[in-house]
Amino acid sequence: MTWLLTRGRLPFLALVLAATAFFGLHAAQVGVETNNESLSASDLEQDAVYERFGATFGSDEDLLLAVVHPQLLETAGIRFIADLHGRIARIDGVRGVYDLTNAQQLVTGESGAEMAPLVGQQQDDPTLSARLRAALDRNPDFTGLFVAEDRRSAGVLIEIDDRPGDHHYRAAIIDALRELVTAESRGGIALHLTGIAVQKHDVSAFIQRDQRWLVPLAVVVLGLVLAAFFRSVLGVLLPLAVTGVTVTWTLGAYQLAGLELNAITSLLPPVLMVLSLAVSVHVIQRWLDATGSGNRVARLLSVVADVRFACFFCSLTTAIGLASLMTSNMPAVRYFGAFSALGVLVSFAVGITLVPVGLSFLEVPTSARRPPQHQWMRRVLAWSARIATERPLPVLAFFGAITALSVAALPRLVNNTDLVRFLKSNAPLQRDTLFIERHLTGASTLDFVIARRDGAPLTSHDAVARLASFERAILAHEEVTGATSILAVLRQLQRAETGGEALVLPPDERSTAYAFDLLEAVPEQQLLHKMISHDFTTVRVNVRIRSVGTSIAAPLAETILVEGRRSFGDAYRVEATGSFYRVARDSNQLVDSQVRSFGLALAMVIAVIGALFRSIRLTAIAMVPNVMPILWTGGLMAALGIDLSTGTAMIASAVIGIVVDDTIHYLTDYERAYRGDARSAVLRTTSGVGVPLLINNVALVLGFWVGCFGSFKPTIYFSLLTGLTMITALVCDLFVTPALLVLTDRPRASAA
Amino acid sequence: MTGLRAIVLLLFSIATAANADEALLDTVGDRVVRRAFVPSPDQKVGEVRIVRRGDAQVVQTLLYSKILSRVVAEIRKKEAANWPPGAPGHEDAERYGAALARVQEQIWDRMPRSETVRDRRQKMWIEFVLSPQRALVAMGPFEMQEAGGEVKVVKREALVVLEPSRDYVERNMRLIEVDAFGSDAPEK
Repeated sequence: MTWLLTRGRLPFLALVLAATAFFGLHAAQVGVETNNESLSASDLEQDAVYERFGATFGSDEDLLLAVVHPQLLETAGIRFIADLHGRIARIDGVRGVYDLTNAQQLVTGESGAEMAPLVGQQQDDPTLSARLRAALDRNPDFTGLFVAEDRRSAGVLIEIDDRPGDHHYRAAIIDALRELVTAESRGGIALHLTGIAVQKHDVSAFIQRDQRWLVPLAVVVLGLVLAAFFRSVLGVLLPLAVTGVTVTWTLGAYQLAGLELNAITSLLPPVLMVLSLAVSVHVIQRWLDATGSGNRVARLLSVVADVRFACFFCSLTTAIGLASLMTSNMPAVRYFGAFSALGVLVSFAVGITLVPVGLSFLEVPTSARRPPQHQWMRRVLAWSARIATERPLPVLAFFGAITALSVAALPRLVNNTDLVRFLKSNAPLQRDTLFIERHLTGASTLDFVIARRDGAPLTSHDAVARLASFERAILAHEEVTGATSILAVLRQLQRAETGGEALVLPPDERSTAYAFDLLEAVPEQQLLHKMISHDFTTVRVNVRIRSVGTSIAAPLAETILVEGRRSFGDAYRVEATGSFYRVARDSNQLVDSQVRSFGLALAMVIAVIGALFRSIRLTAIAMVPNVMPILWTGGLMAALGIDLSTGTAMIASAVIGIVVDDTIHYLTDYERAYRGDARSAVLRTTSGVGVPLLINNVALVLGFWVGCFGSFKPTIYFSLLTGLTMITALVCDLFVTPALLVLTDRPRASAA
Repeated sequence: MTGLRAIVLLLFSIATAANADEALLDTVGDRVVRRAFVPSPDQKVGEVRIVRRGDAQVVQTLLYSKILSRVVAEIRKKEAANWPPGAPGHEDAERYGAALARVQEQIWDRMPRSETVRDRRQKMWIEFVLSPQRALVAMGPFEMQEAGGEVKVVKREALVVLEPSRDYVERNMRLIEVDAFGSDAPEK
């Protein structure tokens, strides 16, 4: 270390600079995930089902454009949709466009059922509106998809190409559609766009937006906090340099690992900026607090020796807490855990070396600095120490009561991921999706895939009857707004074949088989094969549901699955799949995964504290002020109706390792200050270590709260609640830890 | 005596005609001159063959389709368009169309009703036969074997034999050939 602070300074700085340049080049190239893939938990079985589904029925990521037009079913409205249809169809990457203007109905022809357009070519025909309304009344399957129940808005279903490896065409399609929406929404006409692809596009755009805003904002906030507390250029520049190096190296490593930023890992830069401050703050504060002029190198060596163990263990516990997220089954959370833990360790290594090296270029302060702004902090700290030592039992009773209330509220916590409501209420996707749901149809879809176990086609009357029974069960659910399957086609076909009026299924084996024979001969197979496989062995039931969170969607999907298996029996295989189903299922597993992760983090943090203090008593005391605030945060979430979701479920695991740092610093100083009397040791410790703890926590909290300016509610809640938990954890450290130390004090024989 | 002779002659002529029908529909010495899948090799519902049978020219159509009723309906539509009411041959076309529908229904009725039937195709043959003496149209069900994309008729039954006008048969044969082989169809 002495070499580092003398002759080794310049080579060390050159090395750091070179490494930063290398990682910086890679960090600058880190991309943003465009398909949200890492937000889906890896599940080999479900992945295989989804892959089969995609191969059989194509992508389930169709877009839905709702059109509101004052004369929707009249010539002007139909012409508008026809024009829109043509313009959308010409966009590169659009495979098909389906709406009222090209919808086909089955009518009775000379030799049985034949296809006929719903609208026809003659759009100037004065009877158009009446004909169209009659056709829509005759074909209720179109309502809720191509036209709303109130006939005021229409749906345009846009099927897009599946181009693996091309990450740009979807964004280009959505940008083009959004331009269309903006250009055409006027004079009573309004367009609304939704769909999974839009969601992915918007998430990606919001991540890029957050990167552009949050990182500079975090730098400004941290700079201001550091300037306010240290009132010196070095107090600002050195911690920010450590922060910059940490973020650059970590993001560079992230890019080298072949990863792209997602909605969760986009938090890495601001979180790392905040977490990498602690070591710098402690080193600089010690440097400023140290008394006597002394030798520059000796003083720095003494500062490093004072803080290195506490800082190392703090970084270790923080890294352990974050690394515990690697047990998550969601790749995005795993990546966040791994790279934030790496970043924390990097920040320790850089902070404990770069800051002393930086300080070694400065003159040694002649006296301990007591900036005036620290005086009020010292008064607050002295008051807290006095309360905790003089009234330990009431203090514990008060904090215990809050904890009991929080624990009582915990069962009300709801595990819910709502991708649409993840976005702010003014986000176009949320606005459009909720509009479409209110006026046209549910924008979320669940897909169920049915096949016989023996691989036989599902063309028998029995199979169709079972499918009809399944459909009835699905439609009985309140959250379901519609279900599309081959049954709709079979009903139309039967009516057109028999020349009847009622929409009924083929009544017997023969007519059922013949209906499928007719379907086989249909020249336009593309739409048909979105409902049934080429060989008729696999059927898809697409269920449209209201825009509900996964707390409703996941059990609904499971209930429908059970009903499906009951309707079809053992001879059939019924599986649920689709992008939305995967999100719902992942959300269900999220809490289990995060409880496991938190348990692991807690156990490892306890082990590290045990190893550091080698005292069961101190280890037990250390746990109380750290678990308590996490329980409070859980209770607060339950009371405020904040759901457990991808972001908020990470709080406990991420925060345990961070908040325990204050306790480690506090107990380390307490051990040093203890001379046989807990009360005086607490008073000395609180006034001594309290200031850097306060500075560090204010910086951490404000740094985390920068995330509140993000675009996603889970990350906003994560930032807000993590910051809040840190505040409550510090409060616990200043009241509960001293109270417990005083109450459990057994003067050691050697101490006096 | 004259009456008895007349009856004997009538019976003889009927017997002769029946034998003549059988001979004209006997496929034993058939030589297939050309063949083409209809409507196309990709979406075939059957095939048209030009056959030499002794001194008779035969246009044979083998239909094998799950939706035979639709195929028959299409044929009837074409017949109606080619022989509109009032045009010579209209009544022959009507009779032919009715016979097609009748035979198709019989074939449909003979189909097993079980869902486990592997081959749901309904098979029907139609022949336009033109010999120097007679012009016939015959049709019925058949059974077939497929090997290497080629259809071999292994058994057939004539359910209907019509004897329309020679002009009707000749023109219909020509139209079928053009339909199946395009402008490449052999000239008579």
